[in-house]
Amino acid sequence: MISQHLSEEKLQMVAGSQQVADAATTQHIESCAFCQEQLKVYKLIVSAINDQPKAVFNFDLADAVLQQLQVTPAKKAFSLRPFIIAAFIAIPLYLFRKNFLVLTSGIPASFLLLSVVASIVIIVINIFKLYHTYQRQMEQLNISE
Amino acid sequence: MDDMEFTEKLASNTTAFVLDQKESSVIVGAAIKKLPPILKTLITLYHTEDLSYAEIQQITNLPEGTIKSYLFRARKALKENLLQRYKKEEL
Repeated sequence: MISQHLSEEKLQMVAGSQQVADAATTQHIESCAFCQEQLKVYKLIVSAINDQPKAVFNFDLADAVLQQLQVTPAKKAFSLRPFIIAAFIAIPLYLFRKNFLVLTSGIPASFLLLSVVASIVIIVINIFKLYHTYQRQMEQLNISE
Repeated sequence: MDDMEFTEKLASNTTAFVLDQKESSVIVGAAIKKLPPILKTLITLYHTEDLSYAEIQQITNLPEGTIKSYLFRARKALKENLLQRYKKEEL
């Protein structure tokens, strides 16, 4: 059994930890009124510290972080994609222009016009839907101002 | 009367040392505010934010031994502050 009073370190350790102290320490605490009171004080302090409200910032953290972020303008990378697509359409049209004219020669002009108008309408509807989806996504991200 | 004598007195008369949890929380809260900034930070990180020594080490760049030593000093200072407060009230 420990004959001397427990050290401050030991008392803090016992008061602060959830684990049970070793047998000798426990035995001493049980028999020593002084150490019991010391431990009671430390337990009260630990409990009081734990009761303290969590620290909060007195400024808008998100705003402060956003201000520190460097805004780098998005680079407009030169893309070959539109030219490739255009080539894929233009080359076959050029190569098969005679056949194309033959293909369309038997079709009435009104039917061709109707096909072209229907195609344009479908493309316009798709563009509108795409734009609408884009707007909705921007609203969800809350960055469109 | 030093702290040792005072605590011994408390031990002999436990009814004299009836600490209300709420009251002690206010006293300790005020005492924490008076601590040096580094001790206050460590007490907040360790006890209020429940961070481990390793996490506090990452935040503060202090060695683990220093953190433990500062925490010991901070808790001791809080204890002395609390006892002094009750000593004053008794006088």
